[in-house]
Amino acid sequence: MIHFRHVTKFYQPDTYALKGVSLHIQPGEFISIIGQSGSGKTTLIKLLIAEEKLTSGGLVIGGWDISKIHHREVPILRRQIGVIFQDYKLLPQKTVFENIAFALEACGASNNKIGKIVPQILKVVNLLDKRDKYPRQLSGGEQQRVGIARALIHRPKILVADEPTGNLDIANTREIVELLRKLNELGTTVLLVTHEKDVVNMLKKRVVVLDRGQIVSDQPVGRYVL
Amino acid sequence: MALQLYNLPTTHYNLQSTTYSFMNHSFLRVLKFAFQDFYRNFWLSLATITVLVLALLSVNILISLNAISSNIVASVKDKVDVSVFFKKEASAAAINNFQEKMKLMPEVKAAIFIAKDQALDSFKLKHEDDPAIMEALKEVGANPLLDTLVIKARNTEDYAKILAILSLEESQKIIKYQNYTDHQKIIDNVNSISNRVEKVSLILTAVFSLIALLIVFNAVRVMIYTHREEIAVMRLVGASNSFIRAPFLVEACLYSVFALILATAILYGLTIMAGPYLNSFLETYNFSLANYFNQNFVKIFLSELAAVALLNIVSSGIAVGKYLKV
Repeated sequence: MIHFRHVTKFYQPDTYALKGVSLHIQPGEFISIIGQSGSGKTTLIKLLIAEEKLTSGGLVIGGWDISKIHHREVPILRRQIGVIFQDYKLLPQKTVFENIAFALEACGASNNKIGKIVPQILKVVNLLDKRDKYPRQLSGGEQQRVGIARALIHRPKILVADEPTGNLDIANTREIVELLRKLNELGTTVLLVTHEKDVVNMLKKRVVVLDRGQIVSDQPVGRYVL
Repeated sequence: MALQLYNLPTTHYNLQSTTYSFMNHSFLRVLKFAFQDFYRNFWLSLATITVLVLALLSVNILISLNAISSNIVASVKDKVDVSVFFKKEASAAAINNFQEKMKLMPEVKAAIFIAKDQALDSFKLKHEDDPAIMEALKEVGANPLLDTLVIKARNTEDYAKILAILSLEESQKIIKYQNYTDHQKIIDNVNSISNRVEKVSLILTAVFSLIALLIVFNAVRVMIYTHREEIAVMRLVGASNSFIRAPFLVEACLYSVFALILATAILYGLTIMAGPYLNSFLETYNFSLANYFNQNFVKIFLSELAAVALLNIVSSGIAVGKYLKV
């Protein structure tokens, strides 16, 4: 489903964020990518959602070679990959409902469909009663659940989570991890970037370790080892 | 682009298909987002509108000053004329011919004949309270005044041509003298002031417009800067550039309309408040600022609306574009 082929990302003047990374992720897989700060984890995600362009190599997602993606195709790609961010990236001037609806509105969904789908997804993340609240009125865990709901609204085949529990307490972390695991069991490919040992050990799934832009370990059922 | 190659995951919630017609509801949505952003960021909107109002007011004050100065100059120019005094022996037919000849000149706006008896009556009426003058008139006995032709030119520059006609030998046969030389200096001064006023107005208009343009551009940039993170988030969740940009452009139009309404209201308020002071000064010149704005309402305010809206749209477009590169 996702195929990184000798991917290199170079930043001027002399930094290699990724150096010849090759990685194959199967449909329905749950993969954790770990590594210290500056190891290239976030760059990997930025390349996946075309926030950055790779310097060399190839990146194919579901048969779509996105290494040469056109600027105008980027929104189409992003509607098909759900992304969860550490800092939630919610729109502060929109309510919970509007934040989730925005992703649908952006691709021209009708109001009727939005009115049906958004409450359903709010129910999944258990936030139906907070639909009219603004992000500032929610706890960190609740804000992250809004982020997850928004990421799921297009029913993506791939869910990318960039340090989703980085700002959360233990209880909220467990809740989010369980939600991700459940989505994976239902068929979604999940790519989790984290530096939290407990989260990785709790999952008992494939673990890829990045170090200075290179893959140094790839365990099918790994633990957090750096 | 072949992301649909694999099967959709079965989810425990019942979602509808996410393949929609892109144009559905887009225009209404853009309007909704624009209004929503306008009132949810009320203070920011107010600050931007205030800057626009100040820019518009300064331009309108300049327009007022231009209107006042050009009206005063025009009024002074209008007061300038040439009085031609005819010899006593000049026949009525010759004077009449001369008057007709002057009237036919394209440079002549009016040529009004004042008979010496009529001039004497006016003189007496004007000085009836002055016993010394009335006594002197009695002393003289006969009417000392001459038949006169008052000539007004369309432009002060045209007096030279009129003067050339007056100095012709044929004209000099019936003309005793004309008072043009007395007015020469005034006319030259008025022309010089008028030219200077025009130049200064042009420079001031250019400077004011540039300042207003920079202030508005900067205000819009600051407004968009505060939205930079939202713009990035919108991009990250799959909104196209046009879908992100459009509400900001509509909002820019809203700012322009509100700013123009407010600036116009303030301007009329100021005109009404300053009316008595201005009128006492301007009525000599038969000019009212309020009337001027009423008469030119559509021309002035529509062009201001078009200019401000265009400026806002361009500024917003440039500023938003800067943050769309995510």
